[in-house]
Amino acid sequence: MEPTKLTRDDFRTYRPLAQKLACDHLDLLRSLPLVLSAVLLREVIDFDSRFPRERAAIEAQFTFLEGLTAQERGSLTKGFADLQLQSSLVDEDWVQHPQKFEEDLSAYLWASKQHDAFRIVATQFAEELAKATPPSKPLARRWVVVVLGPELRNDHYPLFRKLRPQGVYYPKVETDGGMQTILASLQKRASDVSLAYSHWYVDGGTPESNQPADVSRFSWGQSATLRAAVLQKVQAVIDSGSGGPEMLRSIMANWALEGSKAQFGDSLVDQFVMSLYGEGSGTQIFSTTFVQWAAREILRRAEPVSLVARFGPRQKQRTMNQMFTPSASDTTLDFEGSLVDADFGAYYTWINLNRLPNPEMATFIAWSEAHKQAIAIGPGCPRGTEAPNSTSLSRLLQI
Amino acid sequence: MNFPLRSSTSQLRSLVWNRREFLRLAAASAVSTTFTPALRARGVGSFDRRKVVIVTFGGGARDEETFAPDAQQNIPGMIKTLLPQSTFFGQVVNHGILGHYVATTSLATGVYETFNNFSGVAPPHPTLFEYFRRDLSRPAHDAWVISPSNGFRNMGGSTARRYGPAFGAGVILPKQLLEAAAPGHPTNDFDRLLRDTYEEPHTLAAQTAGEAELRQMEEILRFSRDEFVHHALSLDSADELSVYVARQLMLQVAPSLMWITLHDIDVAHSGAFSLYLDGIQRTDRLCVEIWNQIQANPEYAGKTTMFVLPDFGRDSDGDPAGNGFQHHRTGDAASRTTWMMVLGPEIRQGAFVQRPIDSLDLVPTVGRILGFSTPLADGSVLPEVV
Repeated sequence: MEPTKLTRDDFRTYRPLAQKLACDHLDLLRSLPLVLSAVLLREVIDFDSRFPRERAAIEAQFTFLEGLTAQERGSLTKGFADLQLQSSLVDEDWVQHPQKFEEDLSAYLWASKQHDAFRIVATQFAEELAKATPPSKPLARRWVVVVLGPELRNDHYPLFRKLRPQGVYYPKVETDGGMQTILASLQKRASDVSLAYSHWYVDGGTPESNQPADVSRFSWGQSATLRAAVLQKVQAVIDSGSGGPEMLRSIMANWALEGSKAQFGDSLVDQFVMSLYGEGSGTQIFSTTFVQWAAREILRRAEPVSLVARFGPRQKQRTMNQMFTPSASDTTLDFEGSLVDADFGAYYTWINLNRLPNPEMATFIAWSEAHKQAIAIGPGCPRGTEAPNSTSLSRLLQI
Repeated sequence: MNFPLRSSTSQLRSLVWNRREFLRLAAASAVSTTFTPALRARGVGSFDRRKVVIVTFGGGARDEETFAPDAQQNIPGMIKTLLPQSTFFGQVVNHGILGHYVATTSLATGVYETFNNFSGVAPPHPTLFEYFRRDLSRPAHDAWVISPSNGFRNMGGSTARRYGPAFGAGVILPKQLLEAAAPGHPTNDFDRLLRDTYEEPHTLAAQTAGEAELRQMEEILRFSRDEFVHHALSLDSADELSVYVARQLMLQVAPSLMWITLHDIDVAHSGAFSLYLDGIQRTDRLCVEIWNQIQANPEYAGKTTMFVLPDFGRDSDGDPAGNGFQHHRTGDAASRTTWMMVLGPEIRQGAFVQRPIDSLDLVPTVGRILGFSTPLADGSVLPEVV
């Protein structure tokens, strides 16, 4: 279907906020090239499960596009209109299933050698959008703490190798209260700046019992039931012998949209965790991947001002089919490998923090509880330096 | 499909620089014949004297974990053993689809294939095995593919008219061999050898091993079931099993054209960085092992050219559309650009080729070395090699 034929009735299956948004901007959706219209609907269809900042960004996109003259809009989106689409793509139900359309489009662009052209067009569009809708400054300096949990140990691995050039390396850190000290700092920040989904705690094992209030939180340990459900879904596809990875991805993405059972006392957080399991790669089997991807997605989607992410040990590698079996025990843990995963996960968390507005003002700390080492990056932390004396964790957190 | 928020146009230059710098550092520490021309007069000779072994990685490895100065400990075999003996292409660009089966098959046909990566279908264009066998009237046992991935079972021959499976390579899937050899064996003993790539766990359920695999094992490889199973138990991964099978194939059949695909690195898709590093280190060791097997086998020593190349790269850390090492989905420079080592008796040793070449150049180059034509393949013969 061409976008010009869109009607309000096409959105009747959308959830309430998404339906209203689509109908409010129906004229715009009708006027856009099919690819762009479908990509926008991919964002609209799960509008109800988006965080406030994401909703604002989506609305800003519509406002920006509607503020352009028809000629300006045509010029900006010409690259999308110029993409050659095969008829089967155009005929797809991209309104009800924009996720599937996006996957099929991606495969088609690769196959038809238009992927690079799409990259250029999409990059230009994103840059124009960013210029027109500059991100707002955070309400407070961002503060991200990554913890490499106490069981993660590997005496032959140089910690924070990728991060050390960016800040101050602390080879001796006095634990003094450990995780509770960190969560107390998080609690204080949540009290100082009270805004929903601005403060997060994600744990790759069992979370601390004394959890801070007014903080969005979830954990690998407490989402075991959800994980079992997703693995069951995966196993059903594997057992059928007919579903390839693409079908599996679509099935999982739809599953993530189906709605959730309450797990963490907040429906947006519940749906967010479902999306981590449904859309993530490896999040269902390795707790280290779960935490790394969760931190990335929290930063990208919620743009918080505070985040504490603790890595726990992951299971040892077995065959993929075994790891995808929900009933298979995963009690054999790989502590050394987990430390390496977590160390790199800390690096990726820092990279993702730097993609948010005003990264120069942000504070990033990674701390290994077992090795009593840390790295601090941010204002007042000279790059590529090493602290000569031991430091307490409390002092680090005040940077 | 996330919109990329930042382009990375300088990545390509950076990649090439890294590899050139890497080679300079390696050369400085090498005592041997670095940059000494080692070209012999090219003998016309009979075809029977020439052999080619191609090793590809299904799951590229990035410079950050291999060639970067602080990552070279992950590839000691390549640095100390293979590199000083090779002509090294620092910029091999893959312009095709970045999925392992379709990309590896494209390397084998010399045409960027566009079929669904997960379909496992035979390619529409002739493979180099078909050109080789048809042009030179070579028997079926002279060309083989060994792949740990069951999804590669149709890589040996195309559906092209005038070519096709009758001229294709034999395909050995070592995991299938193992399943056929030890049907009742406790699975836990073989877990590490039966690992699937993260992206295709579904394939095992759909396929079963049987008589064909047993025939391959007993008639081609001349393993006894017990011997094969016993040795397999001493190995650590699916790729090690493949190299073990390759060694036996070289001893028993000595094919002139053999292609080994290694996949351990592709565990990166699960997001576990430590397992990705393990895969790189194992692949490095196995490449040296294959080269040593070539040198130790009189059927191969002194007349074999070995090509080593990843099928493509992996996403850079700088592209927000990806998640760094985990995938190869963005199509950025890092994911498209890789390298190739060529070693052999007439190959210049310690040479670095900076100019960009295309992944498709492999087929016509192998054709020139072995003396067959590749009329339907794209790409160009690499003058640095022939």
